Amino acid sequence: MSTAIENKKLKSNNKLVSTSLLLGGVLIAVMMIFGILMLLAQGGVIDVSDAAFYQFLTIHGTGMVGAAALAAAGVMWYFLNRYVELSKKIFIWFLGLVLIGVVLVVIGVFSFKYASAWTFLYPLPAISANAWGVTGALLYLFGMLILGTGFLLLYIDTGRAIIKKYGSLGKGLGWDVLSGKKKVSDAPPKAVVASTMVTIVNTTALIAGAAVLIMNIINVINPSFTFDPMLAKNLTYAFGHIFANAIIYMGVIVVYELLPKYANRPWAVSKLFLVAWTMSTAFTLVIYTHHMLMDFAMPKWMLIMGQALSYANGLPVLVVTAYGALMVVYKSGIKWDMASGLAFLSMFGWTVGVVPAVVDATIVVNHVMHNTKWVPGHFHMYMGLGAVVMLFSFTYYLAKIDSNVKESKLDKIAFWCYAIAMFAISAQFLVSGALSTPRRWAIHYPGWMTPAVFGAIAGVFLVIATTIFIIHFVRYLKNRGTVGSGLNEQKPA
Amino acid sequence: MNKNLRNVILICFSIVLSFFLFYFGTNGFQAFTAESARINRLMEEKPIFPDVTLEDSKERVYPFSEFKGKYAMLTFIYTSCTDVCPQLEMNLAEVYNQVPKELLGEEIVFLSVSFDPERDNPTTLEKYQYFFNSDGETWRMARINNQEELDSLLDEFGVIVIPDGEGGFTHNSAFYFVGRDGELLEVMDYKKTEAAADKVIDTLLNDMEG
Amino acid sequence: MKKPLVIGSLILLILIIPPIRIYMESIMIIHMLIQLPLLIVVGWFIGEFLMDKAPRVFELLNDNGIPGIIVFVAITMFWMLPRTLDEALTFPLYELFKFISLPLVGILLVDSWRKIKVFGRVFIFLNYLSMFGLMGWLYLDSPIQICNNYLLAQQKILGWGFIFITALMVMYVLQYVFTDHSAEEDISE
Repeated sequence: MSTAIENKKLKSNNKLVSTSLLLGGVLIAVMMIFGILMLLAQGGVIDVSDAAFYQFLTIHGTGMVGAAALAAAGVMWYFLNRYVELSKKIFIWFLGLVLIGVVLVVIGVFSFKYASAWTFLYPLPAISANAWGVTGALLYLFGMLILGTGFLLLYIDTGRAIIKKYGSLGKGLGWDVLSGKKKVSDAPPKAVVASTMVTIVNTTALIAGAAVLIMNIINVINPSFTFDPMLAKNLTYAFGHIFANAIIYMGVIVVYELLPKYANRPWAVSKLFLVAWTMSTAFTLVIYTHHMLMDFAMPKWMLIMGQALSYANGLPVLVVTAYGALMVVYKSGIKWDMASGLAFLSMFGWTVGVVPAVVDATIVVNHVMHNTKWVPGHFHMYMGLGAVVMLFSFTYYLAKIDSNVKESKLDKIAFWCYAIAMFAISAQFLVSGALSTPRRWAIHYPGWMTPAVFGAIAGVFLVIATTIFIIHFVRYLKNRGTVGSGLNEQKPA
Repeated sequence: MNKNLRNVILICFSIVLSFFLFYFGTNGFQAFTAESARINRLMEEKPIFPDVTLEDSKERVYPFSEFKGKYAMLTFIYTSCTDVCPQLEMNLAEVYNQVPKELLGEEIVFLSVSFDPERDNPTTLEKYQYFFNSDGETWRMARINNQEELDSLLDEFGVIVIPDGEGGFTHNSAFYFVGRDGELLEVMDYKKTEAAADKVIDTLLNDMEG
Repeated sequence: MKKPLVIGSLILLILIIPPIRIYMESIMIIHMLIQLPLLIVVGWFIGEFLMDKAPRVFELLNDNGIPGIIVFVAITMFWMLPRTLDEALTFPLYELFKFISLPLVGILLVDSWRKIKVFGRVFIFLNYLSMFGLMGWLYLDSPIQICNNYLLAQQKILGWGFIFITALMVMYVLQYVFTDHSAEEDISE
């Protein structure tokens, strides 16, 4: 195939991927505003009705996870498409379905007052004490179902493409290399390994999610059909926890692809790397049980497994990735810009963000902490300083290789502003948690208010920084295709 | 015809077809089980309570027409039942307690009909009554001895009773609200006692005013 | 190529014979998980025959396989509603519709399955996987008797039947994705 055609194809792919990132980025910024409003309300600065607070909570959670997953899927698709043949048509379907899902969710939450948080924990959708009606619940649940269907389509396609090129998902994870049938130098690229992992865990999550969503829909339509709430909770978290977790495993591909290129050093796949990803695949599927450490009705072995494996879950991949990243960068004379800087920051955020999670996954601590703001502290750090930073790293990377838009001083200021503000927000949550401030409460006692106000102020800076990131990306979109950098990528033959 | 256009039209057609299948198959997304469909049909048909002969816990024998001119609140039970009947009767007691005392026996009677006449003799019924504070007068428990009469009643009111072969029965449960002339007014969800009580009291008060 | 037609009609005839039909319908799990699927199998065989005889019709009405698969999903879901199983026993019209609609979707399935390719098949398969799991859960967990014509105990057996099928489907998926397919050529979208 000639390079000209190949380039043209890449260009139109860039447009698609950009759509998912722009949509994701803007949604993330808007959701941050809802976050600020909630913190202001908890801090006693503004007056928000309780009903509105829980609507904000619902949209903030759903929106953040959905938007980050959407953008991260774009990143994964972009890089995976370099190694295997993905279908463009299906990516368009994916975008369309996600958009329809988002619209339904927004209507359900704001027009019909649906507010059961993004976990839609059974039987809350049906039993709302008249806070919302059947319509709101159905709009939300169907919206999530359509959104999930979009993602399922995408992962079926990635799975299919990986199997076509590498033979099986096991080989996509490099098991034939581990078993010695293949040389390490022939191992699948890191982007493929990560995509295989995400395909496996997210397909599982989405199937569990579909079952529990339809179950809730049945219960909303006909409340005399009841289900076992414990099993419902298990399935709900098997869906929610895995799906939210997978965001970072999609986003991390940008780190793998970008740092070696910037440092001009190879980052080879090692056996240890493959083992780590296989372990994380297995652990991610089972550790959601750490959400249930307080449910005494759960079988004890599951809880102990949840605790033990929680320690082990993120660590393998985190360690090989963080260590690998350091080795690639160390004394390489890497040129720091926004993309590489953000990629490096994300590694920092991911590493630091795991610490409070490990603390929380300890049963003794969990009993005291899980319903405090400690937990939001953990996932804001992990997602805000880790996953989301990876996404913005990618937007700067794309702008650099596919346009002549230059980074300005403002972008650098935004970088530090984002890092410090996000750190402050996470710290504020952790401090609140340590003060035993409960999470998901619309109203706070005066003693709990100060960190919330502090967080809200930091949030304003965060929104400003994010807006600057997005403006840069929009400038790229306007100047797309005016290649100014020598880093432009070719699809490997 | 253009191939793509034809495909799109056919897809839309099949979606519409599927929609109608479900729409009509569930009475407009109302009835997903045969039970709810049965209740919908019953409420449309409004069958009349057949004139069966009852034998109550005080060994009195009388036809159902004895209650003519009064409303009646009915359940169908058997006393050896270990799962749903006690709950059904407990809930009926909740409704019973909410009806103003002066109306009980005058404007409305409560009646639990046993479909297991062999075992549920007056003595057993008397004992069973005690568990729910039923007085045997304003809330009576009775069996129907004539199998033909029993079957006709169960059939008319759509009560399905299947012996499980081990002395028990599987059966559907609901509150049956019957009018002054023995016509079935409404079949109510026995789990929603508040709604049932409201409905009964409203009907009684409205009727007395009107 | 009359063989599929003969096999299909033969199964259909056996299913229609009153004592067999009544026996099958008297046990919930046989009704739902044997009689209904067999009716689809009947359609599958007849479909093979028809596709051979009148390929034009299928080309015209079900060119890309999607209309056919939509109707297939709708009708199979319809027969998974607790109500329909009950009504088929009570109303002859429902019973008649059962014996017509299910072979019909079998015919549609055999045609569509070829046309929707690997991607569509996987999507449909995964959807049924979660749907069967949910049905199992529904029948096992429901505190109320869902079907008026069947005992609670039968309902539970059916629930386990669904769970069993779901487990088989999960195992099939696992062996499919973890065994080697590099030799195969038809895994295009």
